[in-house]
Amino acid sequence: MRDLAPMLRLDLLTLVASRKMLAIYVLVVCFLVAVNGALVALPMIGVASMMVCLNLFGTIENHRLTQLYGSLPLRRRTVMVSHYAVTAVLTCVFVLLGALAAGVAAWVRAEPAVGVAEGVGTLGALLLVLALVTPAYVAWGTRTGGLVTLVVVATVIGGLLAFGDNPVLAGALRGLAGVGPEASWWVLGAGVLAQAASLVVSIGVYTRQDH
Amino acid sequence: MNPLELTGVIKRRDGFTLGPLDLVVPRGYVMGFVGANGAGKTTTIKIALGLVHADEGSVRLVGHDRVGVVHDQPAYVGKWTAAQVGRAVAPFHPAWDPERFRALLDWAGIEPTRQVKELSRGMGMKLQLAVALSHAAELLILDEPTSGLDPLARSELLEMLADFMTDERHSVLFSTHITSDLEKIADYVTVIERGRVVASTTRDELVDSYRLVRGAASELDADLRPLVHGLREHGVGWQGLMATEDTVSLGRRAVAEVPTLEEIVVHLAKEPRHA
Repeated sequence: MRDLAPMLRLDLLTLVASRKMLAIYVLVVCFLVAVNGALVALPMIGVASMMVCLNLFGTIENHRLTQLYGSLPLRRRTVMVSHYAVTAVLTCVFVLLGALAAGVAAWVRAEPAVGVAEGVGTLGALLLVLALVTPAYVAWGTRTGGLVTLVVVATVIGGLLAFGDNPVLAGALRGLAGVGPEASWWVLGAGVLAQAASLVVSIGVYTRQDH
Repeated sequence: MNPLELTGVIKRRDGFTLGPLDLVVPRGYVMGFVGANGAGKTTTIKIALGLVHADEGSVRLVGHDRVGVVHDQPAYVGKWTAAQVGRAVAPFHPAWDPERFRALLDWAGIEPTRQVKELSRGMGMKLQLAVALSHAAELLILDEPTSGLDPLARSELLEMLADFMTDERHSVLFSTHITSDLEKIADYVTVIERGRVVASTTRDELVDSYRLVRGAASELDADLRPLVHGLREHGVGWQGLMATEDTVSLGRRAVAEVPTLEEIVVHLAKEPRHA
C-alpha cells in the first residue's frame, strides 16, 4: 500500500483545515468539565470526537475531494482505509484527552476519578457508533447518511421501548446492567470488530460508486 | 501506445445514455473534445479517469501518475492555501518538482499563502494547471478549462498548453464548448452530441469534410433534405451544413462555403430534418 502514507497525509491536511472548529470543541469541553465535574468529560469528548470525525466526510463532500482522489494515483480501497485509520486514531486521541481532562477535574474538584474502564468503554462505544455511521455517510453522503443513521438508531430504541417487557429482552437488559467494569473491554473488542466489518462494507460501497 | 483510448464505452444514467463511444487521444497531439452542455463530455472524462464506471466498453489510460487533470472547478479544500495544495498532492507523485510548482504559481500570479476559496475562477484553473504541470505528466485531461475565463486568462492558459505540447511525447484531451479555443490549439477534434460521437478526425479534415450551404427554396427537394444538418428555411431559400461529398448533388444556384469549426459543431448538433 504505497499510496496509504500520502493518503493519510491528505486526510490529515483535510482535517487541519477545520482546526478552528476543533479548538472550539476542546474549549467547550474543557469549560463544561470544569463546571460540571469529571463525570461529563468522557461523554462530552465523545460527542466532540464524533463531530470532528464526521466533519472529515462533510469536508470531502463539500469540496468534491472524491474528484481529487480520482485524479491521483490512488486506489479507492486506500481512500477508505485511510479515512477509517484517521477517524479511529482521532477517536483514541480524543478519549485520551477526555480522560486527562476528567483526571484534572477530579483532582481540582476533589471528586472520585474516572476509571480506566469508563475510558475503554467510551472508546469502544464511539468505535461502534462510527462503524455504524461511516458506511451510511459513504453510501448516501452526510445529509442522507446522517438521516439514515438517525432513523436506524430511533428504530432500535423504539423497538427496545416497545418490546421492553418481553421476558427474554428484559432478562438480557438486566444482565447487561449487572456486568462489571471488565465488560468495557468487551465493548472495545466489539468496537474494533465492528470497525473492521464496517471498513469492508465501505470499501465495497465506495469501489462501486460513480463520482 | 496512445495515452488514452476509450472503446465501445456505454454509460446509462438518469435517462441519459452515453455512447457507444470511441475516443482516442494520440500521443503527441491535442484532441479537442467539443459538444454542447450536457452532451456527455464530463461523463466521458470521468469514465476515462475511473471516477465513473462504464456499463460496457473498455478504457486504457497511461498510469495516473503520468496524468494531469484540470476539472471544471478546483477539487481542493477551500481553506487550503496554494502551497498546501502542493503539499497535499506532492507525495502521490514521485516526479513532483516543487521548484516548477512555485514557478507556475508565480506565472499564475497566485501567492502561495492565498487560500483556494479566495481565488477567482481563472486563478483556480491556473492553480489546477500548475499542479498538473508539476509532476512530469504526459497527458493532460482538461474539462472545460476556459469556461468562464476572461480573454486574457484564456489566452494565457492556451499559451501554457502550447508550451506543454513542445514535447512530442505530450498529449492533451481538451474538453470545451468554446470552439475558438480549438481553432488555436487542437490537432484533432471529436464532436459529441447527446452522448454520441458525431465526428472525430483531424481539425483540418473535419473542416474540409463539410460545407455551409445556402440555396433557393425551389432546390430543396425530398432527396436533398435528409442530407442537410441544421436545416433552416426562410422566405427565399434555405441554409444548412452538408457533407462535402454530398454537395455535388446541389444545383448551380446553391452556394457552398467553408464553415468554421463553430458552425460545424452547431449544425451537427441538429439532426438532419428528416431524422
